[in-house]
Amino acid sequence: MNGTHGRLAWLAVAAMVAAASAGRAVPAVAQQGLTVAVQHNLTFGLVIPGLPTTISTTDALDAAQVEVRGQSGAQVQVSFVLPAALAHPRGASLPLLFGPSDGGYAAASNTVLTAFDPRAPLVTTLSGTGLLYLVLGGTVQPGARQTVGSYSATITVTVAYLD
Amino acid sequence: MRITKLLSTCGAVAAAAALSVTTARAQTSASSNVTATATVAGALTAATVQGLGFGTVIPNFNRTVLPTDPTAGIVEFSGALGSEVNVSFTSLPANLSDGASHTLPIGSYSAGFAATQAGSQTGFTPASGATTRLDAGSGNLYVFVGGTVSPAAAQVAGTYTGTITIQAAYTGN
Repeated sequence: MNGTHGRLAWLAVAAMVAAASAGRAVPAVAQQGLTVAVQHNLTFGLVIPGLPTTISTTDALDAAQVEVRGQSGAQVQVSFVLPAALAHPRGASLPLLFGPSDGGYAAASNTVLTAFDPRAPLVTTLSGTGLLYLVLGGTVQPGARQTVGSYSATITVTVAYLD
Repeated sequence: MRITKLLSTCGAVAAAAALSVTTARAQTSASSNVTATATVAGALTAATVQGLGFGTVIPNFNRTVLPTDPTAGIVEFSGALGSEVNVSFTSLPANLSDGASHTLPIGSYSAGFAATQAGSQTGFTPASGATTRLDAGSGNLYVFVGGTVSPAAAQVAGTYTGTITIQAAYTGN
């Protein structure tokens, strides 16, 4: 009796295991990919030799604005590669500085920003709609005899999911 | 009993297996570039267009020249288009001198500024200065100054001169 029952039990287990591993699809969830889109560049405009010019994160016309899209509620890390100066085509440099309040982020483009220091990585969470808005300001410090003309520099922003 | 327990256990195992899912990430990071730009303005320059001229004055009779008069003093400032500047008078003499110790009192200064030499002026008090902008098209600003000389009844004849200094400085706005 016991032997018969033992064989039957073994067969039941085998059958159930087979059903679990053959022919039944294991569902997979694809996490939405990340996109980073620059909506506005950092524009200092006309600066005067000897007079520092600062663009605040609240300057809607001149501050840099970046839109991040990804998985709803996902935790992400934001980092910037910040140049030390803007460059003139003839080689002159215009010092570029960033401070602890020169970064800002929000879940929507028209909401109050939370300040952050762009010189260090930011860890935050995408909104319920998978969005994150980043704003970047800064300060240029032209010398009293700064070479006249146009200067530019590239700032790289990288956003990555955190496991 | 034993079979029932074993079947229950298998059921639990099967249920646990069915709940296991796989999460696939299409892209774990993304980057983009922000461009920072700035344009450095040229220096602010000043040039005297003409001095303040009272012409021939009669002893005991005041002579007034307004900023809008043809003989008003005129200084031309030039710099970055549309930039804001502070205009101030750093020297407003109280007397003109003939170089031989005789003085001619001058006062009641008045001033104005305009975008062009012939343009309509906005008046201001020299002692208070003014904040305005260089012309957006030319980068120029003209400052005009007038005043009143008061020769005494026994004023010694001669040519009397003095120096008025006008300064403009960028505000950064």
